[in-house]
Amino acid sequence: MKTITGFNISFDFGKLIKITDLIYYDGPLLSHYVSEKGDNYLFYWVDSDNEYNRWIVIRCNILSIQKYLDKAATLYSIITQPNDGFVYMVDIDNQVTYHHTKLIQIKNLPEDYKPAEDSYYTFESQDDIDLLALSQKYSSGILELHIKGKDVRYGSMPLQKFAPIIPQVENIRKALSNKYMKLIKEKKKDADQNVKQQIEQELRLDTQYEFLCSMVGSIRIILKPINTQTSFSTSFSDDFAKEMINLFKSGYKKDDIKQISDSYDKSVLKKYNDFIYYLNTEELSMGIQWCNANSSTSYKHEIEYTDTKKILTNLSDIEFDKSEKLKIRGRFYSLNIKTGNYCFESTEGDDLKSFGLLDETRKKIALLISFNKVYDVTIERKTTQQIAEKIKNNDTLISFIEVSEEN
Amino acid sequence: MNIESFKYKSEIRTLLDMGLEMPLLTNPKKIPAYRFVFSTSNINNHKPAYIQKPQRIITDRDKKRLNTSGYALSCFDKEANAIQKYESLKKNIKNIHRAIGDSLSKGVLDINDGMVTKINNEGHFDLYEFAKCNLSSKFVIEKELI
Repeated sequence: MKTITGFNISFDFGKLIKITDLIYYDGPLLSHYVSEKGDNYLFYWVDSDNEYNRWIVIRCNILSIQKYLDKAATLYSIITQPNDGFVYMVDIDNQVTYHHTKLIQIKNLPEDYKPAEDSYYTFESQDDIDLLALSQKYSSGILELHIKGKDVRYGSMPLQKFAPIIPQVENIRKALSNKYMKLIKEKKKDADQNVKQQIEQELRLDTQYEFLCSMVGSIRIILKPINTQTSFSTSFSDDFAKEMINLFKSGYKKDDIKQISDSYDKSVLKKYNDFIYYLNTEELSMGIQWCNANSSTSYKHEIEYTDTKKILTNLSDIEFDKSEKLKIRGRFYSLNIKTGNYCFESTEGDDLKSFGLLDETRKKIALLISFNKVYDVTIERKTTQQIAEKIKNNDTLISFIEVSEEN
Repeated sequence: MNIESFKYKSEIRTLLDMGLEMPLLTNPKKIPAYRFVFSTSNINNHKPAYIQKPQRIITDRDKKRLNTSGYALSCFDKEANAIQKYESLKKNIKNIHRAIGDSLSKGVLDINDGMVTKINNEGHFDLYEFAKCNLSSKFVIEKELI
């Protein structure tokens, strides 16, 4: 390879965290990395021989990368006008050892190490952040929300579109966490009191997240559980993240929606529905990914904007039926003895009301009902609800017994 | 999916054991394929990305972010698609010929060669070679690309 004039320096490239490969063909050719301080670096492949691959490393700002990806600037302009006025050069061998690290002035870069002047971006980036590196760094599971779609650029999006996302996701988390904690506690109800207290504490910390940072690559929100992980086995945090991701996956199949509804309840699905509706309205896609280096767990799912309509249809098709028997003491205040329609209201001060139909047997003796008497009635209530719709009650009165005045 | 017939079955099995998944694969039935190669003898000719030396990798962590595609060979369905890709790469990386080859070769893939992924919108697909597949004897250089 060519000998390039420059100053020898040391630079620990190994500490950088990969955001994504911007150009990839049988391996990376242009990759975006960030430092712990948040500086952006592009690794630009320029040459190789039998021993090394040679990379030019450029510290640049995110706006330059955005402009390049938006085809508003060339790679040539990024490489030849670096922030620092110079670039780094490094030769990397097959064992990923760094050799010949140098600071290079642009004027000393050979022409074949520079892109063509019309080097506009014509590729699709790989868009896969190194969550494993973040998980190792924080010794914790990491949950990433990755927003893409209309008006979302590489690392920025309008605040009015971004702002509603966090409370909506937090609403889903909160609803899911409440039910999840109840389910786990139910399973452990026979455990020792101390164990139960410890489980309660772990559950609380494992199912709540704290914001770590935001990162580029469209928009990425990086979260971690509040709990400090101390073991290398799976914890509630892994299990809960899996449940979260399963919830996001569920909208694609009606059976999966039913399963979530059975395991949790429709309030969780209602919040999920609201969020999918938001993605649909704003033409956004969202990826959700969990990675935990300690427990070697990794789950992910992506909701494409184009799938949101189908998910909303699936959710709206699901009806949640519940059947229960109500016993109410009260008075009839309207009755149609021909059709069997009635209105009944509790006299116990609990504001219970029922509107419905007498069953066939009660209809035949409806003439016996008096509006100034108190009755104990049994009502069969069938509740039907579609997600995002109001509850519909279907009441059938199946017995009434007059309450004697002494009672 | 049975991966026992693949040339890099043990490497692929390691990735599957880590939880990675194979893409949907089908048997090629005498389909033309185009690949970038080096016109002069080169150890990396017709070698998957992860087998090439020196491997194009930047940090140690990148070694843990493998996917099965790294053990497959990149192919294009049409000459025009392959050339278009090469031209795009060349504009951004002038020495691209030193990374992926300087020539375009053509061959016809059949069911004895391996299994292929779906063709993407750039006309690109991956070939997961069977153990006895030898593209060096099958693919012929059609034109220079530099």
